[in-house]
Amino acid sequence: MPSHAFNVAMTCEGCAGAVRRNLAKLEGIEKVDTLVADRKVVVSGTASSDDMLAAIKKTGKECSYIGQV
Amino acid sequence: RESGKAVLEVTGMTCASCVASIEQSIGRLPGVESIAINLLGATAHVSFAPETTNLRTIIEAIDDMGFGASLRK
Repeated sequence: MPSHAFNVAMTCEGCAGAVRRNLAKLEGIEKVDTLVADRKVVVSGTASSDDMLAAIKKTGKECSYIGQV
Repeated sequence: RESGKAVLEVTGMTCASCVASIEQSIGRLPGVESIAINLLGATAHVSFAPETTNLRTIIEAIDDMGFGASLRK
């Protein structure tokens, strides 16, 4: 199961919750770890990293793809 | 022309940056004239041009961001 890491400008749990909820709407998401302190999100699943990034972007937070981990 | 006004209950917002993201994204929607969010009350006061947009579109847009929104009863 591939997992991908993203930088996401989250500053609190509320922001992390929005990211988690948007990712949960995607097909093929296995696990989402939101690390607010490091402003990172690690997502494992079969969805493409582009779809994952698009879902995160919809929360209005600045974000960028780091790579596969 | 009377603009539509409504108070929405918004869930999932816990800090100022959540508020800023919503105000920016929803504020840019066509037809939205103003949106003022009260973080403590977890409400959003929205005024919009009814011929351009409607509450359902605004609520769906907030939902799309990963927050929850519903019309205050």
